[in-house]
Parts: sequence; C-alpha cells; structure tokens
Amino acid sequence: MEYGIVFLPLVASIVSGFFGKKIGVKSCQILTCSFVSISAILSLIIFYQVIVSGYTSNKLIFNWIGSGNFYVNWSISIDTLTSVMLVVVSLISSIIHFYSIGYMSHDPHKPRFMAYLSLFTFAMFTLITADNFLQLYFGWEGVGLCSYFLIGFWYKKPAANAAAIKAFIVNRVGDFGFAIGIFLIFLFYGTVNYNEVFQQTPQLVQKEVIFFGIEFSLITLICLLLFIGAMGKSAQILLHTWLPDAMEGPTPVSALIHAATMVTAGVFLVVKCSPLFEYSQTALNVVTTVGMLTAFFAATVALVQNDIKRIIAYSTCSQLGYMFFAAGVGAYNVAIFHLFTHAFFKALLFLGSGCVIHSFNEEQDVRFMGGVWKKLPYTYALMVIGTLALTGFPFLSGYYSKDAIIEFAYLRGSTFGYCAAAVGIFTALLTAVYSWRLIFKTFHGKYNNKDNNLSSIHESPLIMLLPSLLLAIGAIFTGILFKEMFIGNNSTQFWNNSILFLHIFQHGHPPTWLLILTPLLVIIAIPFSYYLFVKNEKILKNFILKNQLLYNFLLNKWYFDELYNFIFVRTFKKVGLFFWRKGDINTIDRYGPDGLSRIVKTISDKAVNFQSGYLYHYAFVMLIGFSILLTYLILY
Amino acid sequence: MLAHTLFFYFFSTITVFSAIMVIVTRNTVYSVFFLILVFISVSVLFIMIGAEFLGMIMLIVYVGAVAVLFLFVVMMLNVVEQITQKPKRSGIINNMSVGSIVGAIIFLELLVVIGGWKYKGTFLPLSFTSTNSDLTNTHALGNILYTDYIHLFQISGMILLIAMIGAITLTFSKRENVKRQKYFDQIQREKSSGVSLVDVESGKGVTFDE
Amino acid sequence: MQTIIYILPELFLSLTIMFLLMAGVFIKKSFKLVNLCTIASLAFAIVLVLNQADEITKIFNDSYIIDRLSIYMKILTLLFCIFVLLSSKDYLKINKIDKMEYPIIVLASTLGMIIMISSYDLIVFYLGLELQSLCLYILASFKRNEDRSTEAGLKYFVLSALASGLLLYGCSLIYGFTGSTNFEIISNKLDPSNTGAVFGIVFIIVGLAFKISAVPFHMWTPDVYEGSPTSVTSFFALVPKIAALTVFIRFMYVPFVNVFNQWQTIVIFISIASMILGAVAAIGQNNIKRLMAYSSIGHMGYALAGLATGTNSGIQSTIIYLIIYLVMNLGAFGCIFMMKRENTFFENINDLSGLSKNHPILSLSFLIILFSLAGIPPLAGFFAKFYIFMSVIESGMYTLAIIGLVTTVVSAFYYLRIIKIIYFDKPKKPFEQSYDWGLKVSMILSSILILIYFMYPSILIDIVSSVVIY
Repeated sequence: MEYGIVFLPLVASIVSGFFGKKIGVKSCQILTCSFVSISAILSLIIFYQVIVSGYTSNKLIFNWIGSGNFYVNWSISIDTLTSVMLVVVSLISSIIHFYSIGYMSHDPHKPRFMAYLSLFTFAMFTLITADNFLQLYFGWEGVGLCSYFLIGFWYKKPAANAAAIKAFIVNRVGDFGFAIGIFLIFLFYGTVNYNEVFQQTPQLVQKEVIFFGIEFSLITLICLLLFIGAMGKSAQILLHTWLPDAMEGPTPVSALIHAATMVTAGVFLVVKCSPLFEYSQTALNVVTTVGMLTAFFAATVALVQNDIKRIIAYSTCSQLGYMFFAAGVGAYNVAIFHLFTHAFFKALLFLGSGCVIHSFNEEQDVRFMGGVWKKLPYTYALMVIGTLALTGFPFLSGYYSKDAIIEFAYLRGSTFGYCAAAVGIFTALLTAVYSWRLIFKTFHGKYNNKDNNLSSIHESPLIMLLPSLLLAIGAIFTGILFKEMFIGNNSTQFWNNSILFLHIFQHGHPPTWLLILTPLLVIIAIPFSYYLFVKNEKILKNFILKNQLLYNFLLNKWYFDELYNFIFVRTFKKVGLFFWRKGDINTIDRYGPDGLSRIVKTISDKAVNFQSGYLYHYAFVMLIGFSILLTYLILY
Repeated sequence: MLAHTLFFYFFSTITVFSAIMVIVTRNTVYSVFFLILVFISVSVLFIMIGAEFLGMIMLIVYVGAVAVLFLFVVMMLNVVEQITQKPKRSGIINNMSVGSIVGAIIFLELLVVIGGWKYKGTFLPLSFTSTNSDLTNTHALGNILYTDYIHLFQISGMILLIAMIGAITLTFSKRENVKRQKYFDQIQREKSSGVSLVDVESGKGVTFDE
Repeated sequence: MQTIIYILPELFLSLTIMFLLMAGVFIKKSFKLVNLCTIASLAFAIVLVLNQADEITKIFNDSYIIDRLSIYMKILTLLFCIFVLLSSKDYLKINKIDKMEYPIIVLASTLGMIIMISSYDLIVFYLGLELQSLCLYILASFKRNEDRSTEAGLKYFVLSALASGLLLYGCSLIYGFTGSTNFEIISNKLDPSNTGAVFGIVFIIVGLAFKISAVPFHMWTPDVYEGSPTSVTSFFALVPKIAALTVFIRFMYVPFVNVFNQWQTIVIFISIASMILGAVAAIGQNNIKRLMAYSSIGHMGYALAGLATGTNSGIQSTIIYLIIYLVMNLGAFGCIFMMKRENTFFENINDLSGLSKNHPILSLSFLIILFSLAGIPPLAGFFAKFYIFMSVIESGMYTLAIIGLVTTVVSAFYYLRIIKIIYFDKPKKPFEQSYDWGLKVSMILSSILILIYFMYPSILIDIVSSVVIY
C-alpha cells in the first residue's frame, strides 16, 4: 500500500511525460488523475489506520548507500505526522489534478503539465516519507525542481522564466544552509537516519562547535542551518521574494505547490526535527521571531497589492509565518493543524481566484474587476467560504487553528510567546482586512474591466467548480472535526512520538478576553473593509495621498527586491561580467580551449604529413625510434 | 692459429664489403652476384667455426637455389632502364645524413655492449654449447630435430605450407581462352567415341554436320 | 603421448587447415563450405581449449606452457576470430575475394597466434609470430587486383621483416648472454648488470611493439588498415593484438622479470608516444579505416600504460582494457561493414553524414560504440580507461596518468566529430539494408555489451583477476 502511494504518481508521470504524445491527451489526464486519486485513497486508509490503531511502519525500498558504518536507505516510513502530511498532499494534489483538466483546457501541452504535477506529487511523497535526511534532501530538491518546471511552464513568457529562475536561485540559498546542516549532522552523529540522530541528540546538547569563528552550541547550529533551508522553501522573510513572483505559473500550480504543499515543507521539516529543536531554545526563538516578522510583514504588503494571486501569495507567506511561530513556541501540533486547515482554504482561495481569472480571460489585477458577484454566484460563494476560513471566522477551520496558535503562544508564557500572541492578533486583523479587500474589489463595486464585456463574463466549467467545492467542504469542516484530535488534551497520544514535546503546555485556559478578542476583530473587520473599499473609497485615497511614502513602501514590498537587486544581483553581475570578459574569453578561452585546439590541430596536421607513404621513410622512423630507445636505456 | 685468424679476417672482410656492395651497386645483376659472394664467404666462416652442416646448407640452399632464382628474376626484369634512371639526389643526401647518424649511434651502442661482453665473465664461451665431439654436426642436429624440437619442426612446416598457399593465391590467375590438357578426359578417350566410320557413296562426298 | 592431450587445440586446427585445403581444392565454389567449416572448427577449438586442465603445465622440454592466461587468451583469440569471419562474409562476397584460401589463411594465422600465446621459449614464440605474420601479409594483399591492397601487403611485409629481424637479433643477444632460449632459464640468468641482455630486451620490445602498432613502430598501421580489404582490417585491428599483448605480459612476468625497471622505462615511453599520436593524428583523417588505425594506436597506448605499472592490478586492467577494446572495435567494424550502397563499400567519414535520418538503429549503435571508444560513462569504454588510470595512479605514475587523461580528452574530439556528422549533417542517400545476420549479431551484441557492462562489471573483473596469479 505504501509503495502504491509513493510510486503511482511516479508511474503516471513517466508514462504521460514520455509517452504523452503516443497515448493521447485524454488518456494522460485520466491516467494521472486516477493514479493520484488512488494514492489519495490509499493515504486516507493509512490515515484511518493511524487514527484507529496508531499504525506506524517503515518499508524499505532498497539500500542507497552502504559504506562502512554509514547506511542510507530508500524507504517509506509512516508515522502520525507523515500520515497527516500524506493526506494533505495526496488529497489536494488529486483535487488539483482534476481542476487542471478544466483550467488548462486551452493549453497545448497538457500531458507535460500533468506529468510535472504527478512528478511533483511523487517528489513530495519521497520528502515526507523519508526516514533519513538524505532522502528528505532528495525530495526537497525534487519538489524544488518540479516547482521550477511548473513556474516556468509557460516558458515563452519571459516573466515566467525569470520567476522560475528566481525561485530556483533563492531556494538554492536555503538549500545550501540545509545541506551544510545535513553535513554537520553526518559529521557529528555519523549517520543521517532520523531515529539514530534523534536518539543521540540528548548526549550532544553540551557540545560546542566553532563556525565562522563564532562558538555555537552544536544543536543550535544544526537547527539554525536546517531552519535556513526551511526558510527558503517556506518563503520566510529574507528568502520570501520568490513566492510572489512564482505566481507567474498556472494557477493550479500556485494552489498545489505554492500554497498547500511544497511551501509547507519547511514547517514539516521543523516539526519533524522537533527532537532537535526542542533542545535548542535559541533556535526556537529564532524560529518564532522569523515567523512573527514574516506574518506581520506579508500581511502589510498584502494590504496594497493589486494582483489577485499575489495578494493570496502574500497571505500564504503570512500564514506560513503563523505556522513557524507556532512551532517556535513549541506548539508543533498546532503548527501542523494550521498547515492542515490552511492547505484546504488556501488551495480553495487559489482555485477560486483561478476561476475568477478564467472568467475574466486571464485578467489578474483586482482594480480591473468588480461587481460580478451575481454573474459568478458559485465562484463568489467559494471565495467567500475561503476568505471566512482564512480570516478565522468563528466555527470555520481557520478559526480553530489560527486562534489556537495565538492561544498557545500566549500560554507559553515567555516574552517571545506574548510578543507572538500580540503580533498574531494584529496580523489576524490585517488578514481580515486584506482578504475582504480582495473579495470586495473583485466581486463588488463597479465593473471596471475595459477589455471584456460584462456579458462575456461567465461561470467556470463544472470540472473546475467541483474540485473547489470539495475543498470548500474541507475548509469548513476540517477545523471542527480534527480539532480535538490534533490539538486537544489527549493529542500527544495521537501524535504517538512522532513529535517531541519537551515542555508540555499547561492546559490552563487563556483568559476569556483573549478568546473573544480575535474573532471579534475579525468580524468587525468585515463591515469596516466594506465601508473602506466599496462604500467610501475617498477616505482611503486621501489616506494614501497623505502617506505616499508608507504606501509606496508597502506597494514595493518593503523594497526587498530592490535591495537584493542592489546588493547581490548587480554586484554579482558585474563580477561575473568581469570574469567572463577578462577571465574567460581573454585568458582561459584564448590560451585554454582555443589555443590548445589550435596547437592540437597543428600537431595533427604535422602528424598526418609525417605519414608520407614511402616505405623507406617508415623503416627509417622505426630505426630512429629504436635508436632513441637504445640511447635512452644506456643513458638511463 | 694465426692462419685461422688470417682466414677469418679475410672472409669477414669480403662478407662486409660485398654486403655493402649489394646495396650500393646500381646494376641489379652485380648486386645479386655480390649477394652470392656474401653467402659463400659466410658459409666459409661457418665451416671455420666447425658448423660444417650449416655451411654446406648455406651453399646448397642459398647459393644453389635462392640466389640462382634471384638471378633468373632479375634477368627477366628490364635492368637497363633502371640503370639509366637517375634518382633524386637531394632526398638521398638528406636521408644519408640522418641515416648515417642513426647508424653510427646504433653501431656505437652495440660496440659498448660487445666491449662489455668481452671482459665479462657472464658471457658464455663457445665451449659451453659444444658437447659431444664424437658426433658430427649433422648427426647432432638430426638427434634433436625430430625429438626435442619436433613441434618446432612441424610449425616450420606449417609456415612453409602457408607460404606456398600465399604465393599461389596471390599470383595464380586463371586466364580465359587457354587450352589446357585434361588428363583424365584424354586418357579415357576410346576409339568408339573418337572415330566413326562412314560409308561414302561415290560421287557424293561427306557432310559432317549431320 | 601424454603431451598430445595438451596440444589438442593446436593439433586440431592444423589438421583442419590441411583437410580444408584439400576439400577446398577438390570441391568447386567451396568458399561457403570452407568458411562455415572454419567457423565451426574454431568453435570446436574453443571447446577443446576449455577442456584443458586448470593447472600450469609445461610441455616439450618446458618450451610450451598451458596456464590460465594462455587458456583465456586463446579463447578470446578464437572467439573474436569467429566474429570477424562472421561479420565479413558479405564483404568478401561483394568484393569478389570470397576464395576458399581466405578462411584457411585466417585459420592458420589464428594457429600462429595460439602458439605465440602458449610459447614459453624464444624459438617457439618466434615461429608462432612468423606463422601469424606470414598469414597477415597474405591477407593484407588479398585483394590483389587492387593497388592499395597490394601496396598494403608489401609495406607490411617489408616493415614486418625489419621488425622480425630486430626481434631475432634481440633473441640471439639474449641467447648469447644467458645460454638458453627457455623463458625460465632466461629469467634466472638475467640481471640488470647484464647490458647485452638488456639490449636484447629493447630489440624484442621493438618487435612486439610493431605487432601491436605502438609508436614509433606504428608507421605501417594507417596505410595497411586503409589499403587492406575491410574484412582484413577488422582482423588486423582485433585478433593479433591479443596474442601480442599476451606475449608482452608473459615476457614481463617470466623471462624479463629481473630487469623490470629497464623494461618499464621503455614501455612508458612507447605508451606515452602512442597515446599522444593516436589522439592527435586521428583528428586530421577523413577515411574511417585510417581513423580506426590511429584510434587503435591510441588504445594500445592505454593498454601499455596498464602494463607499465608492472603490478597485478595493472596487468588485470590491461586485460580488461583489451577485452573491452575488442568488443568496441568489433562493433565499430560492424558499422563500417554496413556502409554499403549498390555493391560498393564506403570508407569516407563524410559518407556517414546524416546517417541518423535513414538508419536510426545503425546510428544508435555507432553512437554507443563511438561514445564508448571516447570513454564516456557509463559505457564500457569508460570503465576500461578507469581501471587503467586507477592502477597507474596506484603505482604513483602521475605523469603517465595525466598524459593519458589529456589524450583521452583530445581523442574524444574525433569520435564526437563522427557523431556530429552522423546526427547533425545533411542526410545523403541511404545505405542498403544488410541481410547478413552474422554481421548484425556481432554488431548488436557488441553494442549491447558495451551498454550493459556497467551493471555487472564484477563478472569480467572476477574472471580476469583469476587469470593473473603469479
């Protein structure tokens, strides 16, 4: 069964990728969708077994490396955490496979697209089910690669290519840290298998290492390096710049990779390595801080963005920040719970926005939308459900998970915890505002689009709405259904040692005002933003005019891109150009390949001419050679 | 002993001189004659060291058969033409200079070896190899040729066989329109198949085409 | 009588030669029959060789040895002889040189090589060498109504005679200084202070280097490869190298083991020169047979590099290299045999242009073989070079290794050039489809072996490492 889960997508991907032309578009779509669905069903079964009987397993695929005492296996290891991730990934993935049949219906390269999607699913599975850091790294790079493929899927669009390259390079920074982290683990533990590493950790707490001349505690250093990897993949502040640009890819890709699954790999990594992180308070504090900053930063930026997908992308960024600070305060289960619910409603939002974009004929700017909620009733309903869930409207999934994060942060009781709770509450408010801004700008107010007639706006086909509907159901009910199991009082039993809690939370109740505060703010935000964005836009315009500086600061995403451009891109380009022109062309090429090949050519011509064809020449050469050998031997 | 030495130097001088002449002479016939001279003097040298069998074989095979064959071949070619053709001088000189240097080097190096050999005990004296003086050369060879060295003898036979096959394959060609004898057909021919009696009526003659 | 058992394969082959000769003379149009019988008898000879006892046996007054090395090398020789005959049948027929003498001479040459392989005495070695060389002279000029072929035969004959002369002179020097022609006695008597005998070694190496066409005794190779009929060229490129390399190994291990240092310096010199010339001179070639000639010069350079180490692993790597070289060249010549249109065989590299459009499978095997010859992983040719360089580096001969690597890179150029011509140039008229199964089998077999070698490299390594135990 486990093998089926992991390898069915791979098979589907290979078949539709290499034989797509032979077997036809239809069969490709059927094949990939059905195979991924089967693995979704299988993972549901496993999840059920985990819930009922605490099922764990570790199936060996084959030995990868066996060198002395160092063993690394390809394997499928299942525990509670893994099974949760499996369910999320496979469900969302299969839903999106179906959705993309509709979304990509005008694209000529459907088999390739489906193959990439399935390949991504496979890579994600290998990442999740790894029982060692090396396989994790393989999956990690695999999803990165697929993400690169998919962002650049429309490779004729320069922006898509640029975005793909950007995503790849920024991730490289994170992956570099991650790789060094794994090297360190290998260096000090002599193994990269989770079990052995986690078992040895308590003995190594006191160990200190010197890194760049600074003395670190070993565990802290490893955790920080791993976290750098996680930051890259999960688009945390400083390494977040690729995520908004990645929206150049097709919308199903954004939904699957850049909202629900791949970007949460970082969170998964931190949670999976909880046995490491728990031993390093410093690392946890860093995680919390980065999470808070990201949550706040992304929410502010999302307030003023105009591209519908970028707004959601920043929202993703911000929600990932939530997850990280949840993990940072030690509430790993809550982080995973938020990951779980977030996957549904964020994918739903993306699919909904995909429907909107589809309806508006590839228009993505919210300023050129509006007033279409009657024309697109289903899409509208779906988007509203997604937004409610995202903002944490009471009794929808986001309410349970996000509020839980704030509560747990508060319950942690430390300075960082209180800070995190405060930022969480404020960010929740911002979230509500920008989310409703999105809804109101898109569906309410005046119709603003000049390119398309209002009458040409049409509802999306069933194949796109149905998958979204499934996600909507998930967005509504996952919170209420799984709350008790994931984060309730007896949740440690459910997690079954797949997460280590060194500092158990006192399950005291947070003060009532805290419980009420967030939902209250969220609810108030609805009429507030309706007023601001629909009824009376003048106030906002005045405000912008008065605070032009702040507005531009936010619109340009805190000038991160410009800063990076200035510091890294341009200098490196200059250095690169210098090396290329002066170093490569003028020195290496001139004296290296070009010069050498010229020499070789000359020698070759000489050698060919040497072969005169005269017999006595040949005999002569033999005798000369012979005399050289003789002389050489005598002198030797 | 002195006579022996004198004869040795006499014949070896002739050998070396005529070996050089074989190469240097323009006239191919002369060249072959010099070759014969080389063979003869070498066979004398062989006889002088007591290898009378080799010496005689040398005379019989090389002088008697091979050299004569050479002579026939050479005489069949158009010798005059070759003599009148002047070779290109420049190439020869160029090759001469390099060639003589190379030759000199090899010669000197061999001298070093031989010089070392003369004064070293490791070199085996002739007496080491000569064994039973009662046996003649021929006898001694015959004793081992078909016993100890039978396989070598057989392989040599194989080589000769292949040489024959090769010579035939490379030169033998079937020409068209050549009448050959068909021995079996000729012998098997009988009166009945060759002769027929015809009664000739007077005044009519015979027609063969019937 | 006891000894006859040990020389059964040789006896069988010689009797077959004579029998087939008689049969060929009396039966008209007998090429097909004789060819078939030759192949069958070679195959049977393999069986006979395999039957030989797995212990070191010396016969004929210790002048003939049967051990693992000789057994395996004999099998290799016979096997590749079979493949060469199989793949060249069509060629012979179309070029009208399908005479019954051809397989017989090939057979005799093989017999000579087998004798060489087993030789444990200078005289036996020399006779075996002469037997096989004589056959090769005849084969080279077999297409006697064509000038190039005759010229090739003549050149090979004269130069080979020179080399044989030097070799014989070396033998006589060694005999003079050690008092015996037997390898074992020589090895006991030889020591580095014995200048004369050491000189003899140089002479002998010259003779052997000539046979495997190592620089500077390679001059005959391009002309002979180009001039001889292609079937003969493929024979030249494959089979004689086995025997010559075996003798190289044998000389190094038995008679000259005490003067290894002198031996080594010469072999290193020859090896480096061959690698460089093989890489450089092939670049300017347009005739594919000529190119293969230079390629084989280069490859022999690598094989000698393994020998130059003088270690067991070096010898093993050389044998592995030899085997892989044989397989690759078999395939390469198979491809050359396929370049046929309207009863004419083409030899120019430009005739291959755009081959991939008309003959995808042929081009693919060409691609595999050429990549392998260039030593690109994961093909067999890469491993062959890899083992050689490994053992060279293990012995600390870094200069040799570096030169080898550089020449590998240079030589990749001309292999890739052919690939470029096949795959990216304008297509010409398609070649004819070949229906000769023997040719197809040997070509496909060699491509597949090259391709899958990396999966089970240990098989070959195990076999080879069982060969060399001294």
